[in-house]
Amino acid sequence: MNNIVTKISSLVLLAVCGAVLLPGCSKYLDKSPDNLLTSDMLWQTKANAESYLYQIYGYVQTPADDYTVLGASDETSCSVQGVSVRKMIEGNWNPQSNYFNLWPSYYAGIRQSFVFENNIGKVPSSAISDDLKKQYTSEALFLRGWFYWKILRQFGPFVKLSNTLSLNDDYNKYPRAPFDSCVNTINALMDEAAQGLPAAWSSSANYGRPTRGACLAVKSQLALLAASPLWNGNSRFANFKDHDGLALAPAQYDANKWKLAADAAKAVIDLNVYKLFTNVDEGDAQFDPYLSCRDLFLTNFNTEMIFSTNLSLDGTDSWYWGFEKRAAPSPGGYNMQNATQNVVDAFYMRNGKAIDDPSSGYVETGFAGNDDPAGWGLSKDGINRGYLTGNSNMYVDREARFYVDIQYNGKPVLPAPNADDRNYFASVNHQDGLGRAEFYYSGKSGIATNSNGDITGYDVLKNISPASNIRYDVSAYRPYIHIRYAEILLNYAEALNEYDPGNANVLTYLNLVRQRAGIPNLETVYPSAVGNQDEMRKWILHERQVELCFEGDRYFTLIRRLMMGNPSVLSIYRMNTIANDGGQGFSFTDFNTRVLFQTRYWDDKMYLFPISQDDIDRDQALVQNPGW
Amino acid sequence: MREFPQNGPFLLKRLFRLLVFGFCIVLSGAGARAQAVAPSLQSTVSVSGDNIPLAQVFKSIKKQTGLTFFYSNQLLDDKERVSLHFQNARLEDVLTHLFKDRNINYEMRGRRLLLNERRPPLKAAPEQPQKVADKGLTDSINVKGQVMDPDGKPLYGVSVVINHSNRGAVTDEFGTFTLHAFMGDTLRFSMVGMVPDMIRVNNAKILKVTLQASVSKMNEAVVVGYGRQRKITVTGSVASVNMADMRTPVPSLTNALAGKVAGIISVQSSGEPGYDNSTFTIRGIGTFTGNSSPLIIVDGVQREDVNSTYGGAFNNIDPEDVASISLLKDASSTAIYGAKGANGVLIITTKRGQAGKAKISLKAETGLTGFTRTPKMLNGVNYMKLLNEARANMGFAANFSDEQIQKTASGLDPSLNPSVNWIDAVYKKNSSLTNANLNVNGGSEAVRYYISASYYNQEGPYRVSNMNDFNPNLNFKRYDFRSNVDVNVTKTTMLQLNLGAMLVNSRYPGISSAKLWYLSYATTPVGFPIKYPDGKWAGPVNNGGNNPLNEVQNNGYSTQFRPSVQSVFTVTQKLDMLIKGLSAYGRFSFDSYGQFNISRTHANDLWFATGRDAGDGHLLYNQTRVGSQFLDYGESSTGERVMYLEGNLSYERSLGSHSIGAMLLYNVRNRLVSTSGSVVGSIPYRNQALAGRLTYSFRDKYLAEVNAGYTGSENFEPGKKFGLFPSASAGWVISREDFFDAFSKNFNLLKLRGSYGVVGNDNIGQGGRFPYLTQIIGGNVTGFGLTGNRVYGQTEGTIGVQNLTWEKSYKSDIGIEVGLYNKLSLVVDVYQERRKNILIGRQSISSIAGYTNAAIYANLGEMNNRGMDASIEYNDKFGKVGLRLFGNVTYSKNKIVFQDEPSKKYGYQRGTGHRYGEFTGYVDQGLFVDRNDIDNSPVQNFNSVMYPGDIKYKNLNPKDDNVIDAYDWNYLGKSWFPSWLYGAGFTVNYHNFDLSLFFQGTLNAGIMANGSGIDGSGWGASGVGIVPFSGIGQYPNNTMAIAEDRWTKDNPRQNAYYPRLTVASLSDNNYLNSTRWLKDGAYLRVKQSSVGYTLSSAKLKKGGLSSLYFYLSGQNLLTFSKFKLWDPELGSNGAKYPITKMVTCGVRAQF
Repeated sequence: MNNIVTKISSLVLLAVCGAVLLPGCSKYLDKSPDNLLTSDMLWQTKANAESYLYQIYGYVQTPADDYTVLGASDETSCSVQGVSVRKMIEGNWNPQSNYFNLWPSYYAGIRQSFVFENNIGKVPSSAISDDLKKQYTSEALFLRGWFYWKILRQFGPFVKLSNTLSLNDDYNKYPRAPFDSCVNTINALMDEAAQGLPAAWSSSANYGRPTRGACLAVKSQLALLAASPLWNGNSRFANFKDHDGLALAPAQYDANKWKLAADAAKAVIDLNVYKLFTNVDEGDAQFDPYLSCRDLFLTNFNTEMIFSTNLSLDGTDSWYWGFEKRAAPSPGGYNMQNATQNVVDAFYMRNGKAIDDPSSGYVETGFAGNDDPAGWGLSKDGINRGYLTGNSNMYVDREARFYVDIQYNGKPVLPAPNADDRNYFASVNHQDGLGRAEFYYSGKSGIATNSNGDITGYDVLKNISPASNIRYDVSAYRPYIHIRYAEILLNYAEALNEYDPGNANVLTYLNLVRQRAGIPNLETVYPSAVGNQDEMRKWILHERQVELCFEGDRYFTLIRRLMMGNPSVLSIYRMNTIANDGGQGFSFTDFNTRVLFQTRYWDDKMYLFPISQDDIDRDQALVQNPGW
Repeated sequence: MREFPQNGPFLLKRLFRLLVFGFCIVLSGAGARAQAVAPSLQSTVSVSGDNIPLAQVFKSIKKQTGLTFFYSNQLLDDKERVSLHFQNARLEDVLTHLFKDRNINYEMRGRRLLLNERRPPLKAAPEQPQKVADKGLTDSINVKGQVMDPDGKPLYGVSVVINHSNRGAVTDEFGTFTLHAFMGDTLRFSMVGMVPDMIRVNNAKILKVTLQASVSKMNEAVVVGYGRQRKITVTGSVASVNMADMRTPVPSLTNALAGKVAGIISVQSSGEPGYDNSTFTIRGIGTFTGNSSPLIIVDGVQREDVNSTYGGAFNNIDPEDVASISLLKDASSTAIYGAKGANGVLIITTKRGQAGKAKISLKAETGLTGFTRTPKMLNGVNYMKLLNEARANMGFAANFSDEQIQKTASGLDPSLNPSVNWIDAVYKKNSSLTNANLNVNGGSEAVRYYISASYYNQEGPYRVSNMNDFNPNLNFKRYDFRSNVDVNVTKTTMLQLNLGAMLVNSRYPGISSAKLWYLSYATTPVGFPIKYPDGKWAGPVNNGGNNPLNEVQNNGYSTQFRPSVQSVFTVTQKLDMLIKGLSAYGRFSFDSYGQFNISRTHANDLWFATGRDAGDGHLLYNQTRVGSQFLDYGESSTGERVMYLEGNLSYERSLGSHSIGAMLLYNVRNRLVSTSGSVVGSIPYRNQALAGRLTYSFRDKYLAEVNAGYTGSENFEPGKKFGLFPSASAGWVISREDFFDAFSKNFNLLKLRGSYGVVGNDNIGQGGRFPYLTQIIGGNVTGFGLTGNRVYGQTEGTIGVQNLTWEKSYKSDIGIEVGLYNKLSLVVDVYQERRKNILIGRQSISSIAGYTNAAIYANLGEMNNRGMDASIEYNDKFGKVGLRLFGNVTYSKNKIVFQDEPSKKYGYQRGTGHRYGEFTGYVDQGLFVDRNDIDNSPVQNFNSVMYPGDIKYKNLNPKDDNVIDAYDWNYLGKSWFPSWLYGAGFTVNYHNFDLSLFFQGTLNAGIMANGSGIDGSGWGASGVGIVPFSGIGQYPNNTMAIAEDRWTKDNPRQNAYYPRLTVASLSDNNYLNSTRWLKDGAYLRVKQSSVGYTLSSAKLKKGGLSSLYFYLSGQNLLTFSKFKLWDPELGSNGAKYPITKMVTCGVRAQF
């Protein structure tokens, strides 16, 4: 009996050992993930191939809180200490800081655009038609051009690639290309992309994809940069050469570049696809400049949008939630994105005059004795969005864009739909249903109440929706507009004024922007500007500063125009937020005193971002930008 | 035969508690054929044969008399061949003949013949007590006594000899003896494996003698990879834990291990029940990516989930159920684990049954837990004053008027002028803890069992009550069940089944402990009270922070249960009938782990008082939060299973003076994670290995061993999956040399050993797998269309790289083992390890290639790790005082030799050449003295303006610039992970009392105490508590009370703890990583302390209670460190659940 059991169990044991030993060794571990999506399998189905394209789209930043809008130009200051942008303006910046180092992420998009282009042909035509493949390829080309353009604008000349690079490539043989060559590369990509893209999408499902107009609009932006003093014969870049002595920046000024820039902008205009948005487009009976300028950002689609990212809110994951939260006053928001007195002063009076014009009617002292008679916003919101009784006279009779873009002391909080929500932003004795933002010292957003109290006396209000409720972190959908038609008009006016100042189109297109803002044409206000190239340039740039404020344009305009070092740009003013109001609240007159807030640091090397030291270390052919 | 490690006869079982002796039953057939006549030494037997093994002789005798021989196979090699011819001879004569030259005596007990080592003084045949009773010695007395081990278990077979005579006795199975002696005689008690003891006979009382386990442990077996070896023959670096030291109420095994054995460096960085496991390494950190945790083997099966999910399931094994813990440290001992062994191996073996009457052990203890140290925060008044000062330093007006401060100080209206110590409000000083274990073992020679049940219950520390129909307090309950059964199916076949269930059932508040700590620590003391007098809970307005006590009391709770079931089934078959000395086993294991969470949370109404009514003075409220009435519901679960199959063939034989052994095994492992969350993760994790061992020893004097693992890893491409990991080692037991005889009186052991080999690590870290395949994962998101439909991108998460292979660790180890006077033992090992081919993510690829967001692996790292570990133990007895002293120390120093790092502009910023985890930062030059000092120092523009009292940093590149910027940080020398860990303790016993203390500490660890370790995690500002008044909410966060020790204009001290106070953030000049904030994290703590009393009396014995032991014990009662702000073991983050201390009292009973 025992013997039998012994023998049987011995046999079983040996069998087990044998069974696992013999066949197992060779195959057991070869269980690679058989149903794992590998790079080859991406190109077998429509969904997978498209997802790869979406990935590339994802590298298009929605720069709602980058340096351009959060405080690197003279229009904003961030109340939170220690953020990168504040270090930048304090000069605490070097190639190891890696502030806003978008270079690697754009190159990731560039690589993937090549991968997409190389592989989309592999997808069976039954899955994606050849026409659609052509469209997708064009989108990929646009995106590659877009990334190059963004690199060029931020870092200067880039490394041109003709295809993907391998992991073991000798990266030291990839130098930067000269600026003009970079411009040509982007133009070529945009031209090629434009051929495969429609002038406008027939299906609204495609909103958010580039159109032919988007390609041309990028070319317009690019041409304006190339014509501008930064890259057009800039003596600061005379020694900007690579290791072989090849100049990376054009040494000679070329006036014709302005013509190219004007033509590039005109090409967009001539598409006849775009027009400036007004509230009448939404079915309103009466033109209302306030609603026109505000809602152009808050509609899901309009004909002013040239290129946008259309990303709905998922939880807290979308740009506009953070944007509204950041811009809103305490206690609902962070009052973090503070508009400066500099930009506030740039807004015209309703008569179209600048406030430093003695005839403008601007009054700096005292308080408004009545509510705004214009009744802006009433037709849609039921609320008068102009100034209120008791607001400082500084904020009386300003143009509509001022009330659209600036949250000032005493202006009711916008993303607060009902009286209760608005009261939430008000001190006990101000809970009158208006919800006036309190930037004064002891107010809800004031420095006495908050460790990051509002530091300028203003918040940003552009692109903020009355349908949002920031007290409860509720936000309403809108696309992020990268390029809109107003910018193209201003590009055109600016470039045209440089090479053909007498051209009537300069005024025609500049005035389109002014008209939509509800202010008189420039020539009726300042006739002396007509035919005066310098004065016209001043007003065009002024118009840009106001129309495109808080959209990132100001930073790049100051950069390409070599204006960033101007003392007027570096001296930042604010309201006197640090003066103790002693409980006077809105009627504290000392608050409305213009005080110098900061004198920002500037060094001409900052016209270009430094290339990350890591990248210089990894690619010895890269030369660092001048001064870094 | 060693595969039957604890298959001893029931009388000897008690020995195994102390000595894992290689006893075995010889020829104990399952069905014992009962003899009609009781056998005696006078029975006649016939045995004859030429050159037959002893075992066959014993078998023949058993057949004829029914007598079974019991002996240690250390004592006697039953394969030794003899020639003898007896026909109908007396058994006594046969035995005398057999053992004449073998230094063995024998004794009959019932149907057993017990063989024992013959004592030199007992040159004559062993004397039975009655023979000693010499009638001529009239003034002699009858000395009776009992010999026990330290656990109070009787010791059988102890020889008791009157010194300088040849008279003596041997203890019986109850440990008792009787002999005649004169008053003043000294009795010598000795036994193999125990420290001999001498006792003078003073009166006729019953002697109580306790023998301690011998330090030399010459014959002790230790568990090694896939087997066990006699300690003397081990050539690798293997350490075993003294399980007596593991008697602690700490619920986690790894937490209890620190300092108990040489070779471990660990850091416990949280004390939260269920989430408090240590970062645990053997000989420190040898690699800079992947995983540096050791491989965990429980009962022969890989269970490597240390520190990972399910609470690190093996940590939940009750220490009461553990028979042994071994640490395999060098290449010799770990090579057999191939590509899994590079970080060392920890082997845990659970207890098994021993044949005999059921033996019941009961342990029950209860006590209190608290925190070792809690951070001290500013009180309300100081908070207000210092915040005002910080604002004044920044040019801002005061936040609080003198009147407000006065009101807060007065405490007259705590509703409007609160001053709350939130830490005291949320945490109790003490909470309770209960812990019990009951286990029974016993069985027959054919079937043996060990069954055990444990219960562990720890209450949470929150100061909450059951006020909303639910109790939100933390509660950690653990139920452990274990059943280990051995069945001898035939004489050569044994089945073993281990079933262990570790079931954790816990409850947590509706807020995570991390967040709650953060809030208790960060919340301003003066913003709002806990509650208003009318019962309304207070809370700030939006963005104003939280009321921590409200968050834990009123926001619900979550329950969690984590069942872990581990099962092992083993069939062992001796194959002597095929080849002598051959045996095999097959093992199958199936483990199941799960975790199930249910959360019931909600938000309640909160109110904020804004003032008092001018008339009747009642409070005016704003409702700051509208809560929901009912609790919400949420759930989550995860689970995994692990299957393991092993076949093992081993051979062991002694031929004269030569002993050889060989072992060959094959195993496969398959682990499946049910809720992996990704395609790649859902594929079973597979491993496969072939491993072997050859051992040789000559007279236990010259030892050699070769181990090799041939292991396969799924992480590498086909054709490159398998690798060979060989090691060789040798040992020389000098004390066994003839020339050593002169010293052997004092020097009972001197052994040298050394090993060298290669071990691997295929863990690529970050949960990565299949790095040779390009893998597509979800990536960016974008949107299209009128309403922004979200569309999801896919991208290359991993870019496949060809020709990847494992990390290889080249390890060498030299060790010396010394035993002195049979009292002192010392083991010292020095080791060196060089990791090559470390699998790392590529760092040197230029970003223009566009691979920034993809993982790309390469074998591009090299790291050195060298150090030593040593342990010492001393046992002695001074009169009635028994003493055990022990200590150990582990040192490890690693250095990154090569990593794929871009060439840095300044060499001092390269990580290569530095320790793993080394802190980086600026070099502190003191505080700026005045404006002049600032103007004459390099430009330092971390803040826009520098003021006196700010920290001045050193310019590291003065040739290139006169600016302090990001090129001026460098490596600071210390890492968060200690280089040294040591433990030391003693046990003293006197009569029935014992006292023990155990200290443990670390050296050369750093704490970056600038707040950089404190992560806001979305709850608020990072660096809170350290960085003064941080945060962007309505109320600046609270700050540690140490901020009072600060630089001020009136008292500009360089030695102030804090620089000039400002309302700051982590990126502020004064809170950057720097030498100023790098504090010494070394500590020494009284980790365990206990006093105990053993109650033992004849009455109890009659009642079936063989021993009863009462004790009072403490854990972590005292901690000494230079760093005082929080428990230094927490590291750079003090804003989390602290390490706990415990005081317990308990009882242990043996039935």
